[in-house]
Amino acid sequence: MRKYLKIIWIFSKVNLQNEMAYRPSFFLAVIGKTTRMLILILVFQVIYFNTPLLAGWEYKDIFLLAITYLTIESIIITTFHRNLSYYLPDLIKKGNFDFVLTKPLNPLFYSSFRIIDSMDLTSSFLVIFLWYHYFTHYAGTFSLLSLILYLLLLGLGLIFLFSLLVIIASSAFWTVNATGLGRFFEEIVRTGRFPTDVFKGAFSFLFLYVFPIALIATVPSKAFLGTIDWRYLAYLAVFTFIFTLISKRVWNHALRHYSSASS
Amino acid sequence: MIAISAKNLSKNYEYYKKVPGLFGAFKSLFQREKLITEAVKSISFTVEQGELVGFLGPNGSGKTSTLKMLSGILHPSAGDAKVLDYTPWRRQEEYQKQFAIVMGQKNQLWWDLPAMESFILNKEIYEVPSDQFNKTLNYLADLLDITDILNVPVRKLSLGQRMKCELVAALLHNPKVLFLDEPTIGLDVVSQQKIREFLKKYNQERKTTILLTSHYMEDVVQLCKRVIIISKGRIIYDGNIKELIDRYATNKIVTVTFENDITVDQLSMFGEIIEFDKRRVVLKIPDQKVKENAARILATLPIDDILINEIKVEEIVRHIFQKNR
Repeated sequence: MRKYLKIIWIFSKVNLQNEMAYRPSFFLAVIGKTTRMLILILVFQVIYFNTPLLAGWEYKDIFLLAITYLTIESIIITTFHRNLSYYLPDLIKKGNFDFVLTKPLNPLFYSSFRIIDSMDLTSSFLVIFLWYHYFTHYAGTFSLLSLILYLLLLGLGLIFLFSLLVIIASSAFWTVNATGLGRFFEEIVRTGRFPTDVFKGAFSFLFLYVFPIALIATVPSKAFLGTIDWRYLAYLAVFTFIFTLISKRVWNHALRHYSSASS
Repeated sequence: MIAISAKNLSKNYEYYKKVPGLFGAFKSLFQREKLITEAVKSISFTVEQGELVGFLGPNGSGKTSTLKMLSGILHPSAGDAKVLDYTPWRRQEEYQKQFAIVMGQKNQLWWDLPAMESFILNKEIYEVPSDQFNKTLNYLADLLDITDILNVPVRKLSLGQRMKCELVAALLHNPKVLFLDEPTIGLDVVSQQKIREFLKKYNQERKTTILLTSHYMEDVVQLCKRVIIISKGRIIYDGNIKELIDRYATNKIVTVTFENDITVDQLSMFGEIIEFDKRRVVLKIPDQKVKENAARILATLPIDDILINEIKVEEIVRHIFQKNR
């Protein structure tokens, strides 16, 4: 565990150094990330503050849902999202995945965290500010239990998204040219920023049970607000556990299938 | 003690036939023909601990696939292999900490950063204690003469310097087995020679088992006593280089320069003419006739100089490959 934390630290340090290796691109990246942060605020305002009561959600609850989504997005963007969606297919295509398989390091860990882009932390500042705003303006009183449950469910949501991306990214071992994968995953995550209560009928069933994107933001928010059914939480815990096992099997199967690139 | 053993090791690659053109590409979306290439066909060999063995073969002969199976990158289609008593494709950490692979055509160093950063990453990945890391790094940097470039971004290094850094990155954890896939490819003659000298010394001092593939015969001739020749996925020779030369070098190369112009007709009786110029000829003459024919040339033609050479190993191997095509 210590070894892996040390390596994550080296990855982040090295990537920051890498970013700074080319001065113009470093400053462009700073401008890019800041712009992205500003656009996020804009999207946030347009969607959530110009919409009247949404599927029974009040403004303050919608605010919580939105920052939950932004927190999840911020974490996955800084860590595994780009690694598995874009860098892994590139490693496979060029045959450089060979080295990953020869090192005494979990290949999934290496593939998921090789590039920790410290620049992405810029969007985290916005998220922290929004959390501060929520707690000072909307949160009111809440129990420690609901906060712990919220954090646990946030973790469960992250595990669900990670497993989902591992399954999607594993297909790169067969398809090699896995260009559409990242976009596919992003669309799924984006659907998670709406409260799943807006979906009716078959879609509601789909997003709650079959493919529970509700886990991304709706479920943790509802748990914090104390409006969640415990039986449903138990279902999600079991679902995520089985889903993670499946993703592990898919990944291992994909590794066996790796045929390397010709030298 | 045996460090590497392969028993009936085979590797097949599956791929789909590509039909040229837009229509072909569209058609292959729905109907495609599966093809199988047998890259390695049931090969068996063993390598003793501390041995430095050359693995020779033309492009596509299966040597890199074999190396990739032995380093656990690829699963074999059939057969078995053991390296240091481990099954490589199980990818156990204990095994991975005891071997290294260097591929001349791929690099594992961070491109925009000094090689030192990649070395530090490897130190953590292989869990090398700091004092051992410093000691090994100093030893390798000295031996390869790269102490002054450790902090230069990799992209600014020459190909030779980069390859030296790749070797350091691979050897920092003191592997017992080292797989080298074309380590001198693309290097100039001087750099090639430096890498060879390093490998020779390293092998002698550390007793590391080395399996080396190369296109350059010089690498193999200078470094290896034993050579395994692979062609079309099968081993066609496994033994001493000297024996290889004795077995296949049944001719000698005789180069003669003349004081006056001569004709082809005056020479064809002595042996096979390889090169001809009015005052210089290169002949291939069977071993048993060299003495006799050289004496006749000296006696009958206006000789300025005569040189008798062994056939180059490169020629021998090329001949073997052609025979097995």
